[in-house]
Amino acid sequence: MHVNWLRQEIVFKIVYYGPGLGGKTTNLEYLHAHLEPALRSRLVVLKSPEERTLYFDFFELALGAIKGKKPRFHLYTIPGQLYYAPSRKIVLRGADAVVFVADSQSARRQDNLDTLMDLEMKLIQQDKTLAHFPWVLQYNKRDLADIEPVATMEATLNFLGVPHYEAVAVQGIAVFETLRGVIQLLLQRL
Amino acid sequence: MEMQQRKNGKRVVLSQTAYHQIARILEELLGRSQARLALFADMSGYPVVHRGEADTLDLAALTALAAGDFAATAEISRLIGQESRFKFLYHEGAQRSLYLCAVGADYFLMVVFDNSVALGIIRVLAHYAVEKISRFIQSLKQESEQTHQFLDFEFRDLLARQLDRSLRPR
Repeated sequence: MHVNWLRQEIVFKIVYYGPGLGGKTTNLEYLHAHLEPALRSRLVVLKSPEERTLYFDFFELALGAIKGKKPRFHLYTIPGQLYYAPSRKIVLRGADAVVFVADSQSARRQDNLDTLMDLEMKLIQQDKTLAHFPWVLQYNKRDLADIEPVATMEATLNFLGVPHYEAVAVQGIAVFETLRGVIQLLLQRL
Repeated sequence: MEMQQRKNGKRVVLSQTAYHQIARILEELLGRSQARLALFADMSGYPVVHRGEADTLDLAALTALAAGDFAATAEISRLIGQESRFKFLYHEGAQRSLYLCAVGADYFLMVVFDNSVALGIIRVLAHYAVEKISRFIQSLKQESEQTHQFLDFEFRDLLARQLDRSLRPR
């Protein structure tokens, strides 16, 4: 979080974390496409030749002034593949809150858990921990056939009882709700 | 004006004096080098202060990408068996070029300049600026009261309501 008194801005960094191909970029793309244009910056997407996120995706959400002060939110995704671990570490640096986008497909169960543990390890490296950090879970791809019941995913991933959202990011279902939820949590923790 | 940072997990503040001093250092750098833009930012991707031609630029995206550039090359540095990151990065374009310098572990300086300006001049002046800025960074101290002044209950309440209105698909 940055407070710039000269420009009367407060900037928060929110990172979408999760396994590869789980829908992190889809969340950001949907938000960007459906927000009022006046509220958002250009969407920066750095993809590899295989259309996978290479470094990160990014855009800035800038709200109107409140009591003369301008709140801004920097939204980032991380690259999901394990071999981009260094990029994930850097993108997570200075994050104020995290949306963990889990892939609901049964075959991705271990990937979800591994990536959540990876998140915790990287938070610990920053002297933080999931237990004392604002984060929410998004169970994405709820429209697909071979998915785990939400109760099973809750038992596996939501051991800290954080807010969770059942989403279909590609259709925009629960995408805005997830972002509102994580920001509300962030504001409560300030 | 206060600029807040987290350093080693703690919130610290760049003093008003240091902020204005950094702005003056950037102005001096631009004046002496004829560069187009000088930007001081943090490695998390936040632009802190800039001087020069930035009206047409998306500074938020530019800073986020530059921080990513540092992240990627730090890893390259490690992979070639070097313990520390590269001290500076240089990208040469057909008309304009970019010079990036790390300022300690947490910040960086970006200079955008036309190719009519000699790289050597930019290098010398940028490193001179980095040395001066570093002196102020070292004086960072932990402070959190300023944030509470900014984020009082009424502000948080109004922000929550505005988010509720704005964060909906159009």
